[in-house]
Amino acid sequence: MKKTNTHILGFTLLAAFLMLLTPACKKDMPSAELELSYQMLSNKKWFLDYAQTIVGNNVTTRNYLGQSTYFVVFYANRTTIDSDGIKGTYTVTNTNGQLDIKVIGTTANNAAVEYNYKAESIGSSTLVLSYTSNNIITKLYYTAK
Amino acid sequence: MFLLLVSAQLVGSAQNKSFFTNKFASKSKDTSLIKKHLAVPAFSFPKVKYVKISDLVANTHPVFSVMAGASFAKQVVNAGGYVSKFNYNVADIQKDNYTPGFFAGVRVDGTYQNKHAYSISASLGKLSSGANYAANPQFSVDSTKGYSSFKAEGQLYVLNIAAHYKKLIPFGNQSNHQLYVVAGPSIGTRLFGTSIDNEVTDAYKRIFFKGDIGLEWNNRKAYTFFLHYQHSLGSMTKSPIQNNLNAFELGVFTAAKEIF
Repeated sequence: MKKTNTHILGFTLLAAFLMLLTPACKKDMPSAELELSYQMLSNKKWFLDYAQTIVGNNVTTRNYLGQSTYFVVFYANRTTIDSDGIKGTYTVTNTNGQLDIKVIGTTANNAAVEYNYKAESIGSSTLVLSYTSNNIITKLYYTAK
Repeated sequence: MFLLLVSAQLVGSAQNKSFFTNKFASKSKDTSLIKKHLAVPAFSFPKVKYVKISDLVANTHPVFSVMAGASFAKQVVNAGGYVSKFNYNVADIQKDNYTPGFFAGVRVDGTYQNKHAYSISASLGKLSSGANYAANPQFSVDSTKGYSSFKAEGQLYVLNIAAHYKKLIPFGNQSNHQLYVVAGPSIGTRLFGTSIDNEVTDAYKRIFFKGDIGLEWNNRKAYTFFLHYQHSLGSMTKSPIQNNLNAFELGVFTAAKEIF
């Protein structure tokens, strides 16, 4: 076999070998989820459009579309501020695959507040959070504007 | 008395032995008769003709070429029942068009047994891709917006290996120009460049198969223009997400000895 032909055969086999072995670069999934969450949440003003209260099978929906409504801003430096005057920091955590948003801050009267939301679904323009209190589930639907 | 018994036993066994010998003899005679009269053919495996890769390369006068070109790709996505913690508003991510990318590589063209023209190519490329989504409303409160729980990768860096069968089309002056129709399979593998959205889902398969069809136009054996259409065979992503790739490759190749 000519030297050139040997090179061609060698190149083809090398390409096939690379194809089988080369993995696509990959991060571990939980840290990627956190990074994506921060990326989607940050530097946007999230306006509350709907609030649902779920008690057993009863679902009550309140619509705030087109009204002067509650909003919250999550900044890239992990600080937050909302329309009620609460300022503080926020953290996204991943516990067994469940994403949570924890806010530690102070009210306009300097009273300490801490609340925890379950992130049902995070998007770059739609955010769904929920919390449970006295067996009543409250779901909050936000839109970024 | 004892001697008599022993001798009787021996005679008996001798008789038995001769009886069996005769029986076997007649049996072997019968078998030979069957063979002779029925002439049963001996079983043999059908002959399979193998084509050695070394033969393809060495004995078919291959032409070693370099190629480059532009690709235009689009993905058709249906996330179906896939559940994710992340949502994408389809109105924000929909790009229902073919987006340009590029590729470059090498290929070998040959004619096996002076009858079957073929080409084998390997190329590296950046596959940019638009995406068309089948949207579904995810949230009960607002059914007007369509969402997808999966976002298609806009850019994929791929290594592509293709094997094409070529058929000459009688067209125009064939001594100067040859027009071929080509078809065959190709294999693509993602190398790097996965976005954070797809690191989360890990939905893309590492290797995906495509079916290719196209036209190649050779000008005075100096260079060849080609246009290939590629369609993924099956989904590029893991179930239940359905993601089919459609791509066009427009390029040129020329014999390496013309350049180097």
